[in-house]
Amino acid sequence: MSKESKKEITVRNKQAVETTSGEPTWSGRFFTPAADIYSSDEAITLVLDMPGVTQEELDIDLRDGVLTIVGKVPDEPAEYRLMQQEYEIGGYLRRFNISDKVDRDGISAKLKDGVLTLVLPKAEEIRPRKIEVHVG
Amino acid sequence: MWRWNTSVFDDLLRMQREMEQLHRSLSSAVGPRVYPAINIYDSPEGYRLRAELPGIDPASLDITVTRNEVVLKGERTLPELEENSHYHRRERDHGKFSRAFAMPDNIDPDAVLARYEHGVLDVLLPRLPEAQPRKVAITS
Repeated sequence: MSKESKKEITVRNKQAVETTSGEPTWSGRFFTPAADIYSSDEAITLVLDMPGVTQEELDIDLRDGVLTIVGKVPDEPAEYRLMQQEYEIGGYLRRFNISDKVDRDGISAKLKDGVLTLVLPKAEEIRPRKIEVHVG
Repeated sequence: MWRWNTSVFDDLLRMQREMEQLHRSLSSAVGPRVYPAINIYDSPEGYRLRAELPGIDPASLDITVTRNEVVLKGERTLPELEENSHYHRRERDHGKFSRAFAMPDNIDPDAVLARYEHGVLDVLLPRLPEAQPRKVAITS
């Protein structure tokens, strides 16, 4: 038994993204960030793990119903020599289809400690409503 | 003749590189591994251990360093959802972790610096002064 035999949490290997078509300006490797998606009556929330991404290197784009999230991560300095490698350095790329039922102007984003949180408010007309029953 | 030999050698080298790349991509597809994923570098300032730990409270991290070992412990917790919310997709992991790394026996534990930035932990492990390379002057 190794010292590390009782772990409750495991690493998900980074999944490389193919960016050969349509994105000629991007160079380097991109990985799919792990994402949680949850919803409430008011909004859909996307939470993405993007360690190493700064606000300046994050690009969020919504067009034609597709939300594209791209984060770039700088390479390690060239004078650093790898002694042990378990993760690869690269950017993050993920796309989500956004339904018409999202209030697109109301989308907000927050990046903190390598975690991106996107809140997509549901459009007013699809929010569940309590119907009052009047007793006649 | 020599040119021909050289190009064959180049081809073999290229094939070898491709095989190594394939091997790396296959071995990295073998899951699950111990959390968090780390890289260790040898830098001019000392060894550097980096770990991808997005969304961690740095106060929950416990880093212990001796001359030849680094132990990293912590817990990643995700906030509870509000009552009327529910998950559609859950890919982000949470839980406790503890890892130990054997290092060359020349770390100066008193000089260690740890930084947490943009979800990446960076632990700088300076080498003990006597272990640093010294330029030797030759007198004639």
